[in-house]
Amino acid sequence: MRKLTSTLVAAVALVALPHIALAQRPRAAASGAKNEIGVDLGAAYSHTGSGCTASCGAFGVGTPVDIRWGFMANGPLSFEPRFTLAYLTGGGGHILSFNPDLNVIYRMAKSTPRKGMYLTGGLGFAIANASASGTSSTATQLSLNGGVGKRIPMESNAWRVEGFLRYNFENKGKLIPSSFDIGARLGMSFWR
Amino acid sequence: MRKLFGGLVMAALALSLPATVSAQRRAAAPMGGAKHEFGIDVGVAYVKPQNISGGILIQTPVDVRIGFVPSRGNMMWEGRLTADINTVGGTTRYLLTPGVNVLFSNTPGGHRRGMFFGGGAGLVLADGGAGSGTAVQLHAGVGWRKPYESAAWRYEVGFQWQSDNANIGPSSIAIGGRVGISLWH
Repeated sequence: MRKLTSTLVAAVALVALPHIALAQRPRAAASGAKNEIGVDLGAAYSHTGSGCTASCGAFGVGTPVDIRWGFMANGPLSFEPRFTLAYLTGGGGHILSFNPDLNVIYRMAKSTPRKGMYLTGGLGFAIANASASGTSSTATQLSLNGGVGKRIPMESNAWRVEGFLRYNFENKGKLIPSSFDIGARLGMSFWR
Repeated sequence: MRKLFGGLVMAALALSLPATVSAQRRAAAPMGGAKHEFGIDVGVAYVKPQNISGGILIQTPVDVRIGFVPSRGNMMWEGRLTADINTVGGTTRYLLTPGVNVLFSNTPGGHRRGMFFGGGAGLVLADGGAGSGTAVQLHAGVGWRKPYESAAWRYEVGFQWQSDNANIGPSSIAIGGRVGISLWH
């Protein structure tokens, strides 16, 4: 009888073990995702404001626009940094371009962090630095942007389309004119 | 009684089997049947154009890379692209760099972890405002994928040669690497 009871206990332990092992695994990416990472194709019409007298409009298309790395939140508000970086040195000089941006994303009533409409707004800087022959110069331009977008689920990821407006402030000291951009970006979001 | 307990034990074992198998599987995979590997990287390279002193280039995002994950085999195709087209000041300028890479995984981890060898070719289609031109790029390297939750870090080092073109510039070589994140869908 003792042997039988031991065997039964062992069998129950065997049954329970895999479930315990499964329960100890980290949550699946979909439900417990911490970041939304994405790249986009962007298109925008730009219009230069201050100081422009002719050919003030421009149109641009490009990919990748930037890297966006969103931090998931339980509430409707979440933060999404975006950035690009390019640095080239040689011949005794260098050129640096760094464009950090921080956007806030507010998801609409029926939306979830993975699908549906959202509103976004953010603040960014376009920082350029160049040096040649021992002379260095830096210019910074501040920008504000706002937009509306939608995430459309596709298997374990989502398409993300966003229309935006951006205003780039004038930097009088560095002779950088103000301008505004109106455009859209279409890309893919991944969660991890 | 013995038969009854014996039957119970057998039933318990039978019940445990599927769960045991399931638990022994590698962790999930939102990518179990992933078809594509998407990635973005930071690139660092020493670039040396012909007859011009070389320099360091750091850039992110480098390009968009989309890999087509095969259901079997150790060879995988990967497309890479950057595009920049603008019409500032009434003049159209563009830079397009489409490329194709082939990756050979060198480990049992397949295309999700471990070491791989890669090589490929690409085009540089550019018009800086003074005329359009096309250059060819060839590159090769070795890399590693290191799983990171449902994604993976990807490290790659290698070299690249670019042909010369009157409207693009002299031929150049680049030696460097890229570090980025890969995500599957």
